[in-house]
Amino acid sequence: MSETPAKDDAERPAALAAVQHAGGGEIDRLMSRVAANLRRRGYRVGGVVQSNVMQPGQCRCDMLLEELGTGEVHQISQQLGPGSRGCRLDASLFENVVARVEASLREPLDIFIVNKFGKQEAEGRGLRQAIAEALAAGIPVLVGLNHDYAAAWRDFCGGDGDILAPDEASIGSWLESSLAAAPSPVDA
Amino acid sequence: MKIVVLVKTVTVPVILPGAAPPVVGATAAGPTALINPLDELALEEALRIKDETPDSSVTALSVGGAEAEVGLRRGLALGADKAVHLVSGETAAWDSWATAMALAQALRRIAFDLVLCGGESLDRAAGLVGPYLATFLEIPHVPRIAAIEARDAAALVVRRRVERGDREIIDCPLPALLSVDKGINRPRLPTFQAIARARSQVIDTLPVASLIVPPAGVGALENQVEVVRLSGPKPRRGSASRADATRAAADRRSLMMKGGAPAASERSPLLEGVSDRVLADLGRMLREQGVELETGMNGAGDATAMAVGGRS
Repeated sequence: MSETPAKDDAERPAALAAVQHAGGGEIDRLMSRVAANLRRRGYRVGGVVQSNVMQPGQCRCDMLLEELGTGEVHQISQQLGPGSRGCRLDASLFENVVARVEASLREPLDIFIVNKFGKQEAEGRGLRQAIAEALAAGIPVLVGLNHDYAAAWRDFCGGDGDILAPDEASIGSWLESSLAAAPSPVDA
Repeated sequence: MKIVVLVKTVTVPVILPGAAPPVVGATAAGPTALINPLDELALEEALRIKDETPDSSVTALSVGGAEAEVGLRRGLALGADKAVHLVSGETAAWDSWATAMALAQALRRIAFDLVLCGGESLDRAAGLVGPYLATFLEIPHVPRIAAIEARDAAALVVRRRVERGDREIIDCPLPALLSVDKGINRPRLPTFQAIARARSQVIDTLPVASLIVPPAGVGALENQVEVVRLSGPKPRRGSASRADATRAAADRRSLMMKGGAPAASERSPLLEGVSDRVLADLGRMLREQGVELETGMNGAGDATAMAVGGRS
């Protein structure tokens, strides 16, 4: 199993890719499958993937975040009523998850996956700092990027990183090259 | 221009889910620490000066324990040239007075023309460190800065917020301390490369124990404020406006669409003219409303109609 690089390695180029998509739930399912495959192969996967689940009797779905390191699922949305049009994200619940994800970076990881670089991240909040910390630690990072926030992503990356199509072949190819640079997992 | 920005690391208060009544506390993974948002605005203002005046320097200064590094590294990632950590593990118990006293002692060792800070911190919101510090350093302090409009080597022209939405333009000699208000700017966001660089940059440390401070009395690193009690805000009474229930539904809807303002034809008449004429008109209107009147004299010797009864 690879070791998380020390702080001294912060200057080394980190593998970074964004899977650009047009929205919808398919990216959530795709990233979940990618994360599950990596875990099956023995890689230590950190980060979160989102899934939206419709509950009986509710007019809007619940937004859930699965912590990839622990498998714990956290609700981050609130029900605002049938006529509401406002953002359903519960910032307090989301901050709880962000804190847990940032704390998980203290553990050794082989890859960090965040299926969402959205409004919060574009405005400097949310998981933006966690993504930066993972990259600074030399951990390969794979991010789901809604194309509405592509400009904010470019600003964040400063021209670095790859843009991938939302399909398993593109992601698989990138993973092979990025993870090949790190030692193979002992339990693969 | 040598600029020092005071940077505080604060923790985000999180309402723990499921707690009744709601409990403010840290998350299970530990509190989320971040740079105090108003300090980040102060830093942005300093960086804008540096962008326009390349020979300027920006130093981020923080006092505290290990948590202070979060704010300082954020400052470095955003573009501060240098970070100074005034190391003390006990600042959580320090009040604004002791914090300002420690910062003043540190600033006596750092050359500066301008000190910038946020008007208050997210956690304590006392807003006292800035004014105390300026007093200890014997330099001018301008609070609630909305804009830095002009500057030269010896002075700044700043705009500050005052009551009722007014603004004050102040010509402020340097050195000085400015406390910035929200809305002064939109802070830049660091790239991940800058965040990575900031992780490995050296932060200068200055132990509080190395500062020369009097052991007791004014000037000592002692708290001057005792927090007796903290309580939550009282619930506000609802203040929804209600349309007059005696009106027709269409009229009520029309009123609500206009924000409750009556139509021009429904507004109270404005009486104009010389006082005798106004009084006569007022008397007539009141009598039409059924109010009984007596006539008397006011202090100026004018005839005054006084209402003595209600509607008949």
